[in-house]
Amino acid sequence: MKVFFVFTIVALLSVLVLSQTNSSGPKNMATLSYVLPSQLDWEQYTGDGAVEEMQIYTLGDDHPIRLSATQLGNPHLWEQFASMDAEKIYAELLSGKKIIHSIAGYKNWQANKSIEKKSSKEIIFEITGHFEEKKEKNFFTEKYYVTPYGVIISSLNWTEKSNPKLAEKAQDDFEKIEFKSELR
Amino acid sequence: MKLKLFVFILTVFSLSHLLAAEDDYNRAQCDKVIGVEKFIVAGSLDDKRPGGKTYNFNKIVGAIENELLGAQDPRPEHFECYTKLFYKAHADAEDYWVNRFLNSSCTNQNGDVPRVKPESCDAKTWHEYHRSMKLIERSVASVKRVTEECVEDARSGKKSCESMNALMGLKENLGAPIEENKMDKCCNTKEGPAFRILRSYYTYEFGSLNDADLQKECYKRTRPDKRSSSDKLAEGALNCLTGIGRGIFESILKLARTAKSLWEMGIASEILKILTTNPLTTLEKLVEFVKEVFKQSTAHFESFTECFSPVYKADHGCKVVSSMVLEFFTGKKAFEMVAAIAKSGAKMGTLAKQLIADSRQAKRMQSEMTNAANAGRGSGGGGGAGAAGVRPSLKVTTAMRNFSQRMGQRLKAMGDIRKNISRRVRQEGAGNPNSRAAASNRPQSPNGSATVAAETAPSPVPSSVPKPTSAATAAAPRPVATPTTAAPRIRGSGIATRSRPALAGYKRDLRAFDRSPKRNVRLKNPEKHIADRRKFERAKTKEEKLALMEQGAKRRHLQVTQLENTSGVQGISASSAAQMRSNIDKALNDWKRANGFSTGLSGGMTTVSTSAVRAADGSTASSVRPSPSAVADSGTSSAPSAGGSTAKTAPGNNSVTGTSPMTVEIPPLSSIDLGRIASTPVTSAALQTSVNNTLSFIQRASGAVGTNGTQSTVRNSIYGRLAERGIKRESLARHRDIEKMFQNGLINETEALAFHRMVVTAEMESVGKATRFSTSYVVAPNANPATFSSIPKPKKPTLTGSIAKGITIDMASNAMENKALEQFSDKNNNERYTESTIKESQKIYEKLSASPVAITKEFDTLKTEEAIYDKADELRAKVKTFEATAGATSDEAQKAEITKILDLINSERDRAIDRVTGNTASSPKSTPRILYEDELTPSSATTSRQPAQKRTAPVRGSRPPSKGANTDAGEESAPLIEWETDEGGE
Repeated sequence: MKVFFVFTIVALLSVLVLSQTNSSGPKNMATLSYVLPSQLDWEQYTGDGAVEEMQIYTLGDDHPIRLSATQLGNPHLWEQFASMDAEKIYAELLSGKKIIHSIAGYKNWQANKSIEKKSSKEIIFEITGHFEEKKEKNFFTEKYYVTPYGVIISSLNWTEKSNPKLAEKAQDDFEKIEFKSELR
Repeated sequence: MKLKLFVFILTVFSLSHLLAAEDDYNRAQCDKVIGVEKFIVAGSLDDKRPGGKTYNFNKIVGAIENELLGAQDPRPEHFECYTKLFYKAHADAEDYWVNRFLNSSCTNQNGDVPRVKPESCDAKTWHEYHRSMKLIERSVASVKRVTEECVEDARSGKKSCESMNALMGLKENLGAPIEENKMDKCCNTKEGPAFRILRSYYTYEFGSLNDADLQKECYKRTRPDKRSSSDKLAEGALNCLTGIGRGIFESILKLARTAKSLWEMGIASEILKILTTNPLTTLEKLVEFVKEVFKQSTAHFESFTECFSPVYKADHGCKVVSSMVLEFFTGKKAFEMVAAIAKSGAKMGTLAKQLIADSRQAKRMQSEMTNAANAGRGSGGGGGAGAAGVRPSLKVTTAMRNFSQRMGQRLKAMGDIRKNISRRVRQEGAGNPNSRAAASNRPQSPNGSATVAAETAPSPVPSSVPKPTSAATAAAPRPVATPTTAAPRIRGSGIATRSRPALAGYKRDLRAFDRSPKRNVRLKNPEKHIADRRKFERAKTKEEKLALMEQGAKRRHLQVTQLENTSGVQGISASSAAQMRSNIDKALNDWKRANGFSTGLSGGMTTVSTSAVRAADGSTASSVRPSPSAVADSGTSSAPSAGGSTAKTAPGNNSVTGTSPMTVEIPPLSSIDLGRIASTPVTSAALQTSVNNTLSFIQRASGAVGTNGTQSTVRNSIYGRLAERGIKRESLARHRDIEKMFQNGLINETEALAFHRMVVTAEMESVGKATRFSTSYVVAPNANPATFSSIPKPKKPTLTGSIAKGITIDMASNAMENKALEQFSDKNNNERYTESTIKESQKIYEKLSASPVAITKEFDTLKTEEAIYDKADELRAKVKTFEATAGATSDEAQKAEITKILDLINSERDRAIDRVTGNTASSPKSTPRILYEDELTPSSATTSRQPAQKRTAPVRGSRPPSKGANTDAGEESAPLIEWETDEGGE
């Protein structure tokens, strides 16, 4: 009888250990997503320059308004975003951006920044501003949704030639964008 | 060697002089030498009438083959006679057919033989003509092949054929074979330069591909380009601009994923913004900048990318340069340069020049590329030096060249026999308008090669082809059944044909969604087609139903993906798959709207199940890549989405939402001091510390072993204070550091694996066992190879070459002792291929090798040139994968079989291309099916290779027309008719 119990217990333990071992698949998975409530008729852009890793939305060829988003599994940036204030983050980002501004010929680049800590593991950093390119004023709003697991960069761009009402609606939409991260 | 050289010189001079003096067959000189009777199967050479004699072409070709490829040195006189007899037989056949057509109504007014048999043309003439042409073209192809092999052998120094170096220049005249050969050399998964480029640089585009798929892409980029130079240039230039844009995109996405500091993120996000705002106009200056750099380095790229076809060469150059330029942006140099340009107002070109001239990265990159190119060349054509042995003088070389050019031109002209006949019929017919009317008076001679020669030389016929066994059957040859689409066509969209199980699954689950966008039909009850019906009926709340619908949609997406990933007739095209996904999403959204749920822009949940991404290794892009054309009217987080798709919201819907889910694996905690990296563009210091730590660990552990010996080192070494566990812990830390260095692009995957191995070895030497570490490397996360060489090389890496082959290594995260060596062992030689790829390749190989007709079938349903090329590349890649994974290299028989299949693929591809392009006889790629030795019956093989019995058996002469054979002239009509007889026309 004792032998039977010992064998049963050993077998049960083995099964338990095995099941634990076998279930050691991917763990600690995170899903980053965004939701954009919208009243506008956004169409996903698939023309030249579009790449699969990014979503680019437009309101048609007649309206130079673009909304884009991409997700990056970058683990490095969280600590920096979490440990710095808005001014410092902005200064760091801008120093990188300036190189491209020089090459692209941007003038009068101006921006405001804000930081919103949604939770202990979610930060939204926002830059809103404008610049001139070929004497045309370009406006933009960028949102960085940063988590310890990755980043979503989303951006809304329009110009002074854009339909003001549409641009305004697009901004309203963009303001309402919601980000979410889920752990599995 | 001296003797051979002498024979060689003698041969060359003799041939040159003889060929230069007279190309006609001299009976007095040759009849006895070669025993001409055995090459005439009917009639006599004395008969001057067209059709007065029938040659056995195969025997003539066999004789030439033996001369060139036999073990003994070629005999100039014999070779000359065989060659001239071959020319004569060819010319006589041409005369015969011109004469016969002049007396028949089988040709049109232009003298051409139409694709479809004219009613007035008698069937016998029609069939005999095609059979005869096939035979002649095949024989020309065989001679080309033989000479090709001779050249190859001479180059590789394998055989005595070096004395036929006179044929070296022949390849230039043959054209196509070198292209095929180039593809294989360039795309060799081990050392092909083009393959290496794709593996090294195209990290985003191809990072997730295994070797088999990447090889297919490589074939696509190195395939022969038939277009004119101007077309190529125009397309190349266009692609260059697009390539730069895409290259920047890819590079910048990579940069953003691996960005270690906000400064880098600033660069990445700004470029992303520019690209997404207006990709090809706002970017102008950036593109100009890159183009300047490109110009500066074009020469270098030229030398390295000689494998790529022109269009892809430009594309590749643009991408590499854009990647390189971005490296400048992120390096310190960029600051200085941009500052300089800002001050001086210098032009972009100057900046580019400065960057190229001054940049450390550029020099490194250049050096790396040069090394790789040299390696590629060394492995590709390294046999040349060995073969050269004793180099002939200039005089001899000139004679060789003249000879080879003459022969090449002659063969080329012979390949156009159909054209020649048409031309002559046209010319001579014009001069004799009544000739066609006298069809009944045409000479009924033994020229009808099928009727006579088949008696003496039974035809070699592939197993799948009805075999004529007598003159009677040969005279009425049966065409190979043209494979037609056997399976029923389901519907008009991308779904074509499918096997029964797949068909059933398709009908049950997906057919409802398979409709073109033009048919904008909305499903009446989407839930019936999406959700599990039973569960759906049981669900009480709307939310439960929604969950079921979303689950169902996900499942349908997976089914579509599976079908999309299925090759052959069971699969569906990417566009069809995208359309189906789109329709699934539409149906889901319709249901949602009808039930009061919100919809919106959606993310790519289709791929989520397979897109678990390691955020740590920066491979998100490749694995989370959503379906390019998935469409979503509006969706929730469960709806498919994503890049490249057309997401359109319903106007006026005020609750449109969009999600773009991404799944990432939480990376292990970093052991690098991020604070030190932050706020500075100089990022290498902290990483360098990791390198130093690792090296230090290795050094200390190894040093301890050196002084104290294995096993006892724990007590006596510098680790004396640490317990075994402590060493294990430090070892793990070093593994993490290595992973970090890899993620940050400081080292490539090969170097990372080498470092891991060193740590493991050091630990084993130190304590007698090693700690296992979990990691997963996706190939080359760093788009810029310039950083690869920045790591100090280990002094004595205890590695084997195969480690470098490892592309993806998955390891368990729990520490296991004494197992570490296994994970780096040579056993996993197939890691470059996934299991499914290997299985699939094996399946394809078995299918293709089972019957030659299987290859024909693969191409039969294809309608476009592009599709045919793609299919050919796919099949080649599969066969190559099989070769690489099945250990076929050691099995000569299998190797020969593989070569045969590859050649068949090429010839069937060319045949299919001719079919869709309507190419008549002019295509140099169209090829009648060539028979191989193992397809011959023993008796026929013996008969047709008669000369071989006298000389040493020319085994290699019986190989398929691997190169030259494929350059044969094309068939005109009834393209798939196979005439397999051994006898020749006239």
